[in-house]
Amino acid sequence: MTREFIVSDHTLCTGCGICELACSGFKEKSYNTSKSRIRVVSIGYTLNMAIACRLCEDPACVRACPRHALTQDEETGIIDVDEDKCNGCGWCIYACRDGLIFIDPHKNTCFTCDLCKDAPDGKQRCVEACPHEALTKMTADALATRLRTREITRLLEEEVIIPTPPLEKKDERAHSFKKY
Amino acid sequence: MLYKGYAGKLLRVNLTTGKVWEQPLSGELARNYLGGRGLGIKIIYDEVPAGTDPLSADNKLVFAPGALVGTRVPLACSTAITGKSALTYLIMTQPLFEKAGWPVVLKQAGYDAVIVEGRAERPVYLWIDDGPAKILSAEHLWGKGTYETEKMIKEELHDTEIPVHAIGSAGEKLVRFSIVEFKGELQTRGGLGAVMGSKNLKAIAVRGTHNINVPDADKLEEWALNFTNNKIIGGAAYLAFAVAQIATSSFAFALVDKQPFNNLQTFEGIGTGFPAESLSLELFSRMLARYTCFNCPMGCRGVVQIKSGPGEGIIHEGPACASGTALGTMCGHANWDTIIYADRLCNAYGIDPNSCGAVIAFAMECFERGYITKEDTGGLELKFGNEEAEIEMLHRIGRRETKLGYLLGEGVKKASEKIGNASAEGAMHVKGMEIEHGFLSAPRSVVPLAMATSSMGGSAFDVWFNQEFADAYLIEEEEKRIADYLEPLLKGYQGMPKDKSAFVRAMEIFHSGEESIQMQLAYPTFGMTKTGFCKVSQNAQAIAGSIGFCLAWNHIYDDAEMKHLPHADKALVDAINVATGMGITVDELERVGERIYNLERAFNVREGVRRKDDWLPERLFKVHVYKGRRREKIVDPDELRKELGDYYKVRGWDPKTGIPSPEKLRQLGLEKAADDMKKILKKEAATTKREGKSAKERR
Repeated sequence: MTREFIVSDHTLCTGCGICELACSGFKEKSYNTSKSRIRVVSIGYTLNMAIACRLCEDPACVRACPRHALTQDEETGIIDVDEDKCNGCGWCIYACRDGLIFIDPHKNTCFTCDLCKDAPDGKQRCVEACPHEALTKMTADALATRLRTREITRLLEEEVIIPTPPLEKKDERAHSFKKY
Repeated sequence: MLYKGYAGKLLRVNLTTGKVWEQPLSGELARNYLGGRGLGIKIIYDEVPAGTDPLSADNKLVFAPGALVGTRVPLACSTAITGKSALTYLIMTQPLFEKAGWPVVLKQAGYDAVIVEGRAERPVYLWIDDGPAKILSAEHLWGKGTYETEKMIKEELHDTEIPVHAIGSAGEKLVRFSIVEFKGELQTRGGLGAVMGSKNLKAIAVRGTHNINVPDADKLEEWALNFTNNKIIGGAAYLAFAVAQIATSSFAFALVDKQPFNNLQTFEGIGTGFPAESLSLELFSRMLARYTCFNCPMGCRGVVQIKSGPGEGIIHEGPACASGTALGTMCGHANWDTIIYADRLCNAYGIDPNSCGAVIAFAMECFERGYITKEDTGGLELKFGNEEAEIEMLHRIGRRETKLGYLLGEGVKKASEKIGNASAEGAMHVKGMEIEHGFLSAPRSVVPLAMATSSMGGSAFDVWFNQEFADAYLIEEEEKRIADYLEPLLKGYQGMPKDKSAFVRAMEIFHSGEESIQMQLAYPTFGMTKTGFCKVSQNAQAIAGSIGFCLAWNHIYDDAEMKHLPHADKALVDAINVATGMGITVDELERVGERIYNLERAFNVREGVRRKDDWLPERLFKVHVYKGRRREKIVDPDELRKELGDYYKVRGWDPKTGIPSPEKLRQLGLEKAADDMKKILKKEAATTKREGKSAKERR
């Protein structure tokens, strides 16, 4: 699997919503958080995450569409919406377990993240705009690597794993900020 | 023609008749007043006549998002709530910053402001669903706290995303310093929660799906990216705010050595052995996550947990900037558990923590001096440092229970009038609004002058208060120690510029480096007098409130390379032009700021404010702060008197009475206000003449 999608690092994301504005600014040429392809989810006060379409294999939204308006690009995995066929019935919303496909209430067609495929510079607006560098476009494999590395780093820091020779001991005071 | 970036309509709601109607927003109004605070004062000045009882059906409330809110311009996220304050009986604009983006959604629903008038017979709340408001019953919400109200409304309307502005039980019970609340609000001041409560309006919930158009979204994106990456990120303020969370710690507890204690009877600091540094660092160590307002690249606030005491385990979205001072040291203790819990309760009741702390501290002083007895307090040992009594008193104020709780809910001014004796000495207020103690600390700074002349009473937020924090008065070795201490944060923080020199510089700016001394006495750097600086920064804050900027915007827009006022103005002008296509110039924008401030003053003058009201509580002239180990006065009364005279001259106001001159107002295009002032000046002259005559006769 080499398909890339937008990944949010919840340890860096503050949930400020700048990605939502940047996304709608590019896709709609005006600002509207309810038409953003990426959405911020804040649970309680401590978890913030901006999430967008995962471009999954054999996507449920495509299968669920009764009018065959949705197709998936085989190479990139991007979901294409045929706006002539789509009538905003909303079955795709039922089907998408992650809640990452949306209906435009004015056009009455659905939309989801297409990784800014029509951007002239090929860059994703949300990734560019994120002030905390919490968003990246990466493959699932790269994400797993990142998480793996982070977990091992944590274990090292908590001295669950002790390498030989041992790492240089860090300033204790720095330790108290780790959570943060 | 209206500019881009605006929704184009005002929503009007009359709660007495239940009528809801729309009004177009004219381009002229937008250009002259921008939006937010400016739009609010314009509507209130024109529609709320002099002498209106703020708690009557005749008072109006304007909920106006700033002009740039909803666009990509960084920091634009605030609502300005304007009305005649129940606390001061003067103009009040309560800025409200939060994470869910209430003002953004309101603009997406199609409105640049919601104007509420009249009074509902039964409790109601407004539901603005992508169009005209519905007035729904709030009987079941009445008496509930703000957190619970929000949750219940979300459940009822089947949408967990909708932002809700609500009042708590304090607003319902007309506690004078109650606020309109949103969970996690930053620094706001009280006076309008009671107005909302008097209208039987519990909450306003919004949902909106319309686009906010801008002239060129790609251009704005480019501008915003460039500005965020080059000016904000990596700048001194960003490092200090976002990395070191200076905002939460130093706003809340001033990493500095001049902390007002025991209702401002003394200032404690490193000079007297007060452990300000370790207390601030303790707050750091409690932080679980960052908390940010909508559309802010900084995220200057922290989410903290209460470790012990009555609120054990509660996760709270950071104490508001002034809470550490007001709910902590002013009441004689420095226990974060109690401070955070008290801040939490203030949020739930919908009270301004600053005023609440001041009122409790005032009661404590009265108790210690014997003006109120144990009988009045219902057996409470209301002494400085008694944390349990403080929390209990807070509950009573929030619910307006017991005689004393009711009385304190009237604010410090009215309470001291009722208690009598010499209690007025301990009533720390300007024009009825409790002062912001945490901002007072730097001698010779512009803050006391700004506080005395502020149109909202004892408020420091309508001046550029960054020089306050710049001037931390740490002796050199202390400064180094803190820089050492905070340095590891930079290493541990991913996605941050790793430039250590910038970080150390940030520390210097916040802790009395060479530059910060210049910032503290900023006016010479800008080639200005202190009074001139006061005027310019007050105007600039009025503009910021009108376009929906964070009140600490100047820390951010005016950082590092942009140290001078004209540059900051240029950044504002760029932001406004690129988002609205208004084509405004620096001169014109400055006139807008001045227009808004003068109109606010004219409103206050119409309500009876004169020069004699622009004065600080006497205690401030007596107490001392410590610079290192040296004692210094905060403000000298003679100096202040002289500065006030200069200030009126710079403002173009009458130096004797403090009334804006009609010529000045005409220059700013305020014809109606000019006529009003002319009448008042005439009346004033007649009274002085009569008094002069009678004095002669008496002689």
